[in-house]
Amino acid sequence: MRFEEYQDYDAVGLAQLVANRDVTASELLDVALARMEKVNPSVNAVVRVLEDEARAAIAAGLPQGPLCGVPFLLKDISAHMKGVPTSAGSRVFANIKADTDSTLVTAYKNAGLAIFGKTNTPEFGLAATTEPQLWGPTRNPWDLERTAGGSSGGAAAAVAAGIVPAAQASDGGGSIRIPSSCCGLFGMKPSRGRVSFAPHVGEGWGGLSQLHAITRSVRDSAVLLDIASQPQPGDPYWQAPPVRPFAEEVGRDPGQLRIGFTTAALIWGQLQPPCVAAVQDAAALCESLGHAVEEVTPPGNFQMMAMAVNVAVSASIAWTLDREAERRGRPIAQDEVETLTWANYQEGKKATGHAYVSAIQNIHAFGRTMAKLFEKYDVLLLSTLGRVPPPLGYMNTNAADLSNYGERLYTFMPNTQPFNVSGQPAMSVPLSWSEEGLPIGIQFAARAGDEATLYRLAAQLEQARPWKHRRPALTA
Amino acid sequence: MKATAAASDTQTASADSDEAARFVHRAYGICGSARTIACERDQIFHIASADGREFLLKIFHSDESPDAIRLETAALLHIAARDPVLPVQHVIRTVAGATEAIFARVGEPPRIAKLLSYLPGALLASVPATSPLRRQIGTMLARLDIALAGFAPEGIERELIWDMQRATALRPLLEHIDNAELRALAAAALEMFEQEKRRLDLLPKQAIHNDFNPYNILTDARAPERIGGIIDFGDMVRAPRICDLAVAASYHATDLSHLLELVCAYHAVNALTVDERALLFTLIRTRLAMSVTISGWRAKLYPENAAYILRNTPSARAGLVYLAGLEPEAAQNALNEALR
Repeated sequence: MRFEEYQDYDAVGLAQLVANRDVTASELLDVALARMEKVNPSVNAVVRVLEDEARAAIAAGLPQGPLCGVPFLLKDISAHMKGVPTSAGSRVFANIKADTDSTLVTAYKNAGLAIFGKTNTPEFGLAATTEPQLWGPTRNPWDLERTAGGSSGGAAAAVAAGIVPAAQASDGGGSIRIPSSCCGLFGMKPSRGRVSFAPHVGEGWGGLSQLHAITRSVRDSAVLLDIASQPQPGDPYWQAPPVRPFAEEVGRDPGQLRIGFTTAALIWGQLQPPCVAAVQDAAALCESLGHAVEEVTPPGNFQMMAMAVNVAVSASIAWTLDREAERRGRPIAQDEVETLTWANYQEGKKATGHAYVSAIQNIHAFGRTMAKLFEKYDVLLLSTLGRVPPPLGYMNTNAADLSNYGERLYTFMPNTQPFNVSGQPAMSVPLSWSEEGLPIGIQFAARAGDEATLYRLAAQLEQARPWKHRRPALTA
Repeated sequence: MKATAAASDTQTASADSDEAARFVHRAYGICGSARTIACERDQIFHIASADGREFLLKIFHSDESPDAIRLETAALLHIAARDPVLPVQHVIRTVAGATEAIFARVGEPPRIAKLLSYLPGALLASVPATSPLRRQIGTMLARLDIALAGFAPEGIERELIWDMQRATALRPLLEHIDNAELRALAAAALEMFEQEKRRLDLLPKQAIHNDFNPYNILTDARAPERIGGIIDFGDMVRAPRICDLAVAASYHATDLSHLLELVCAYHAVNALTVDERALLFTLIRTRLAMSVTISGWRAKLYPENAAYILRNTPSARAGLVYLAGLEPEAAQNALNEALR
């Protein structure tokens, strides 16, 4: 198969070709690897190639699951593959092999996906850009001098550059939605508890983090979430299963939704004009599709919310690093981690039990405030990002001076964290492009547990304003 | 280091220092005295203003391409906007706000002149290299490359003999290297380069300084263990950024630990991808081969200047010998390990 054909299909489409014996899994892997060799030197999306593992899995016979034979990539954090290191973008973990598969990875394997590599991530997924010391920067296929976003920047760049139609990702503060917006892709952050972290941990970042994927098509995202949402015995909490498979929501009439929209930047600053225009345009689009759309001012103390997130995240980082220090019997040295990580580590070690519980209580209180808003609305529409993707280096996580890092970070991502905090599903949909040709994602959030509404709406938007044909002019 | 710097007939009489001082007053509104600084081709004056400031006045040779002059000016302005504390020269504007002035005399072709801030440090080439200095070189170049990343003026895609991407074009010049052993080393490096060229072409490109050698770097006059100046943007070109690091590292290539100090410091500020790391040694050797080849050729063209032109050849040769003697896999592993 030629790349020009390959890139025309989403994962579901490729799986159909394999099922019809029009192409083999091995041929698809060849195309994916060839594309990777061509574009990866410039985008640096894939940081660990697992060709031998993928060839062996194909030779052994892939399970006849819904995505049988489709080449697939894991983000190099949280989703573990037995015998392969999960670096988390950190030198500390670069060579430590996972003892067992994550249940998510097992589910992907059972679905027939051919996992052939790991994608780049900033250290511990802490940044909204993907420029770790360990692997070097991932570049945005739409403009190689700009960030692909983060923390799932490697996953997004790999999909945008055509290496794969979909890639695994995770989102603890926007890490699926931010790179999806930067790279012109679809990214769903599921509800809290939708995808299990078993067997390694019960939750990530105090329940803020969720696992899923970045895709080009809406149906790929839905099918992958059907594969991924399998609660495990011992999980601390989980979402009730959907009334029907998410895949069946795609194409189903969403009815008239009550949609509140805002052009505000919730946590910090204000949106750049292209983002404001994109929100207004998306609101008009929803109205033209028959939805009841009105402007709304979301309630809540967003700065207090962000401070609570800081405590939960830095305490989690401290736990991760101290556990490793204990395992190896040697403390973590400052020069083993980036300056941002070190700052978080120090902050996390100082946090008292009281401070952690306060943070969690504030996080839960914020969830109740947001739930109130969703008594009136089915969906909230807002900009995924505060600005178009900035140049690489704008959010340097290894800078000696991090004094205005927070301001730069939240100017870029003012709107994603609230839905990690509330535990609601939220998606970034590639509905706009700036005058200079940079993608601008529009974010939609729904009630906790209600990914179904978002998938119905997303599929309607995908049909009304398709983005499949929009590709970066990435010439190798 | 311009291969084209032929000592062509001077069509113009040299300006003297009084004339330069009057020119600076008229064009820039700066009152002061001028002192000539020797230069192969252009005319350069040190200007000390009455209020205690120091500048450098450059009056370019009338053959010098205005595009090339403007490219350097644009680069300095771009860098000052992106990273205002990087120690590059600042472009001083004329009383009319222009970034260049015209030095004209009746009956002579007009010449472009430029006034820049003066950087007082010593040439890095004149002081012993130390670990802190090597790390500073890496850090400064990394910051410079970050600042240059968005710089994409029209003239940056140009044909330049020092463009590493075109290294194989130097093959016909290898014959000008007199020493057979050195010629073989250079030929081997170019051979290796050709094999890796396809991979190099896939890396992201940007504007790079392309000549970060100890003659283009100044120490900080107040703190000699620090770098206080980066000069000469005349070899700028659009190329993979790893080429910029390879050029800088090629001047420290006779000791792996020295080389790694520089590379690690660069990486800490401007992280390298795995694909870039894999090409570094090949590119350092390529630059050294380019250096001995171009010098050998120019020394034949201008035998009267041969000693000056060949001044860097012994150290480039030492680098080539040293790197050729390293076990490739062990060297690459050491690099990968150091960047971890």
